[in-house]
Amino acid sequence: MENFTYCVPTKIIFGAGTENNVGQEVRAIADKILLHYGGGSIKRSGLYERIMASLKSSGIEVVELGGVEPNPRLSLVLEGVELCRREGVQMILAVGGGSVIDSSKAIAIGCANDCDIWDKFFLHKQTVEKSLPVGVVLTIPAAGSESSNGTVISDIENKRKVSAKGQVVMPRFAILNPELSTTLPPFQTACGCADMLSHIMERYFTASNHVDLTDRLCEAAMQTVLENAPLALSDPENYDYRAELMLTGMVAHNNSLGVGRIQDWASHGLEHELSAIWDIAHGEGLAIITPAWMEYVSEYNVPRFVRFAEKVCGIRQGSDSEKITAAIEYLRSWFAGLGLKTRLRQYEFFDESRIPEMSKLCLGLIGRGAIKKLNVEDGEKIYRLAL
Amino acid sequence: MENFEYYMPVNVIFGRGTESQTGSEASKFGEKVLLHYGGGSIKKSGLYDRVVDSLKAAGLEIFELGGVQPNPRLSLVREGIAICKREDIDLILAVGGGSVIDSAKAIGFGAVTDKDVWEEFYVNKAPVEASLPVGVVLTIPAAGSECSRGTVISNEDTQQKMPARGPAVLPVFAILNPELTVTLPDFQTACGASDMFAHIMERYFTNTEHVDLTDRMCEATMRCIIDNTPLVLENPDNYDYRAEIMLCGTLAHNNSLGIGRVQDWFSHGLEHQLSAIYDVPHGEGLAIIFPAWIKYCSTVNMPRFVRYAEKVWGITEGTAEEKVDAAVAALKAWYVKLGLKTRLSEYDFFDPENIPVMARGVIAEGGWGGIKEFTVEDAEHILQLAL
Repeated sequence: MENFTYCVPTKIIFGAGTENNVGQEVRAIADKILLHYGGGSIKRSGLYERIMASLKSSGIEVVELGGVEPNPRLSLVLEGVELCRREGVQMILAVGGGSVIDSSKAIAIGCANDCDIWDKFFLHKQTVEKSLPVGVVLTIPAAGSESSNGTVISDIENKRKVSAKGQVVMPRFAILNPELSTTLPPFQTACGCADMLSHIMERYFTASNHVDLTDRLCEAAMQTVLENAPLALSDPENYDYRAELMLTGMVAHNNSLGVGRIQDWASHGLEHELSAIWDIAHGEGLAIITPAWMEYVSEYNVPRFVRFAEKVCGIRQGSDSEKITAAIEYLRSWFAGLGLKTRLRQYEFFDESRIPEMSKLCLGLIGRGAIKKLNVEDGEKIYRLAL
Repeated sequence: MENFEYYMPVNVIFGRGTESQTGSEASKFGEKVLLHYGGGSIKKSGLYDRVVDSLKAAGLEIFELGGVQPNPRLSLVREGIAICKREDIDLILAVGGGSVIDSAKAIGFGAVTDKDVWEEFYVNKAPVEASLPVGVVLTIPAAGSECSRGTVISNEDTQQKMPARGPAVLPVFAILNPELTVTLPDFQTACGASDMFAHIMERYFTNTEHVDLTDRMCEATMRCIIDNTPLVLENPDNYDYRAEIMLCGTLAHNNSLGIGRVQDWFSHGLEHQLSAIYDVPHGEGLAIIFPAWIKYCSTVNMPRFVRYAEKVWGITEGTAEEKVDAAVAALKAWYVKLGLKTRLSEYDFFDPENIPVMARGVIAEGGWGGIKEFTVEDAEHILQLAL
């Protein structure tokens, strides 16, 4: 086990009807806020009105900025920063999924730092030390951004999708009502489950030895996702399955499962190039990349991949390599069962000739991965295995 | 799943050599620190010198109060409160196990009120809303007090052992170095493992339905303790096993395994009676009470106790009742292997005539029971079964 520090200062408020407490949670932090959200879904569902009613009854002054898209844009972040500065906003309230939360975090960073935040924190990876507070009302269990220390933003013009990190990036509170997720389209539910499963796998596939408790906790959380995701898709309005997924999505990325472990994160890196260049949904991109990554790197830590096959996928028969092959097959058919693509060639627009460019963008400056540190050549091979 | 709130902002600093960060952490909270500890073990081991050096290097003024005993005493708490008020202390640093931490917590909130600490917070159960900050250097993985909002103190005059709780009871930082635990006597290691195992069982045995993720995480953590404790006792100097147990102890009681669940805690209530009257070590008391409690309560929710038998103890054969009996036998055998007593009659000094007094005491104190509502008769039956 590696040395680690762990501190999550996010207050989690979980359960049916909890969004109606948003006003009093905000009240403890700010008088004037930016309400940040995506498209029209929160208006259609009535969530927007309930949030506004709760904020008003607590006497909160609200400035609004909607329009966050999947793979949230730097351009909207910069617009948000300018708006917040002009209006003297004290806090950002994100109502939505990971994209809205990440966009809110980036705006909050921009408001507290007088510099080119894209250059300093995203491209040059300086740790974020200052931020306005961020609160969250979560509608999509997926990214785990509600209690994570990172944000991922896309610069569409330059085709870059990169992250910034810092302890202060963690939201002050996160309201998680599983009821809000029952109206999600199946594709978004599926992408969310792929994303949270991947967040656990990135931590599970480690170079550290003697990480017994977190191994077992990772396996417990992965099994929960594997079982509950198909149940939620076949019974979308069932509260209990949605609650398991919403809780697992948060636990998957608050790093309680990753403490003391050298983590991998190569699959996320490779996926970010898919989203950056082709605007592919992050969860679906992970469903394509992760099995290919496993095929390529499993030989570098066979016991760990066999353990995954046995403990997570329930595979008991066969040689080590047969078990690993079966686990990869199991995973691909699980993703397919959720309605996700698992091969790059399923996208008509995907252009194989751009693979070297993608791999260079991802791995040209820094290698990625703990199971195996990948270089540009490795990246190309993995993209080809994913074709 | 029940609605819940979860907020755990303790800064956990885990790993080899981390006690050298005590000074820099403590200095964030002020200049005058009360160093609180137990007997001479931290002086013999050299830990005392390392902590004092770290505090001095950070420029802190040190006041001292040693002498905390197992089942920490109200009289020493009162002494600590007097020092804090007289010397205008900024922070209490607990260096030790659960008893030292609980004593430090009681001093911390006793120091910021003019009311009698015992009457107000322990007898009248006023929630603790304000306290001096408490920092921890943990030496015994057991109570989980380093990340809990509770403290248990014994009043030697009235022979009562009772908890106080509240948001302000939570420590501000906790330094966990497994190296510090390698010199623990076997009996303390065993009592600690029993205590953390009980903390999970109190959460696991619930009537709340659809708590899939936390069920699996509880099971993962219980199995980790079952496997690693005998390994620690066989290889007391092994860092890896000690690290697993130390991490399990914190997780077992920071309530990440208990969110969304109605919890029981009646076994803890019964054990407190035992410790209050006979000064029995808490972990051993739990090893005596819990098997009896399981046997007595299993009929209330047979599927839950059968699941426990199957998933935690790997018992797959027999009827439901046979499985529960086998689980109780396995639990007892595990305690015995750790060197703990499992029956009240093993104590020469135990007088069965005290059972009605203890039963009335635990029911009068109240606040226990999730699996069922317990009566004085229930309490007597369980204690009889534990004879």
